[in-house]
Amino acid sequence: MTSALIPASLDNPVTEIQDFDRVVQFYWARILRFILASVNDRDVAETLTQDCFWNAYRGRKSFRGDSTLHTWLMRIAINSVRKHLRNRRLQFWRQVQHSAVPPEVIGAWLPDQRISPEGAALVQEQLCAVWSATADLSERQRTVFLLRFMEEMNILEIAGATGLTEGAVNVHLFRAVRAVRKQLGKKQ
Amino acid sequence: MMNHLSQDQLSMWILGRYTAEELRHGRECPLCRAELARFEAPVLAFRSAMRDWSDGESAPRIEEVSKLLRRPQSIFTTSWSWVAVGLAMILLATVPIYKQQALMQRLATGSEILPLPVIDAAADANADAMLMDEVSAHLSRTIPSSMERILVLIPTQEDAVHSGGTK
Repeated sequence: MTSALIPASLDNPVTEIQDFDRVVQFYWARILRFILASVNDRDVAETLTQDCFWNAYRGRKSFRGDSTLHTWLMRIAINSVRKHLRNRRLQFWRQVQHSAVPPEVIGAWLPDQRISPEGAALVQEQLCAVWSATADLSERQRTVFLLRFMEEMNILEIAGATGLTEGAVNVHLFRAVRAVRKQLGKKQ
Repeated sequence: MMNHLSQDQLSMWILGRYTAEELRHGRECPLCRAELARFEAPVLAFRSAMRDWSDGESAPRIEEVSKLLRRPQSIFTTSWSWVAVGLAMILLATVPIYKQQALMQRLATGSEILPLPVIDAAADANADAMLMDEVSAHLSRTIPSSMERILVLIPTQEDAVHSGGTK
């Protein structure tokens, strides 16, 4: 499935949610990549994405269309990630990161494989730098950073998805950008 | 021309919060432009890579999701552990109540008689008498007990007669 084949957004989320398979098709990739970047574990990301859509499916009658479907799903995803990270902190004695994504694998996801080897190496380095910089952020900073710079959501949408005020989103975002810039500055 | 953007101004610039002058400077100054690009280029690469990868992942149908989630769970899951903790707390709270009730029932039926405390009346009377003697001795002193030794050194009237002193 490519982004070119799907429309930018669903027209009427309240009626569209009834065709839930379409909702899954439409939002699966966005939710999956957000969760993967949040937990840094491929298997966990897939399971949490399934959980997220299953919870949304079961609670679809409670969706009144106050927010967009994307924001609503993202909110469920954020709660799933938060719950997972909290459980992981409690189960610190367990080895949970069985399938953590190594930086060299991220390099293989290069958007354009036709670029020169030198260019590819540079982009791969940049990718790894951002990946590790986001991993070092606090949970809340990482969430707002990913929603802003990976999902390109605006401040209002981020506030709706995270349950934070716009002011709090701005503060977390500023701190996240400052921390990521600092990390990227060290790598270069 | 204004000074270069500070680190905080650069971060704010990235977030789209700038004055007209800062916007112009960020666009025109090669140094500040390079500083901004140092953030924007890797983030753009990251976004493109994540999107390309995730768009290649096939989404399942919701029936498949429900089947996938019906996987065998370990016996001691988090929810079960909370149930166990709750049961243990209920048990801890009810055992003393049950024990108390059982004891009361046995007492009521007379099957269990608690031993009465033994009171030694003679010993108590003796202790009372000793205490009263001590109090009487204390009260009958003319001077404090610490001065009693000094009192021996002071000659009494009787001593003066024996030594042939004046009448």
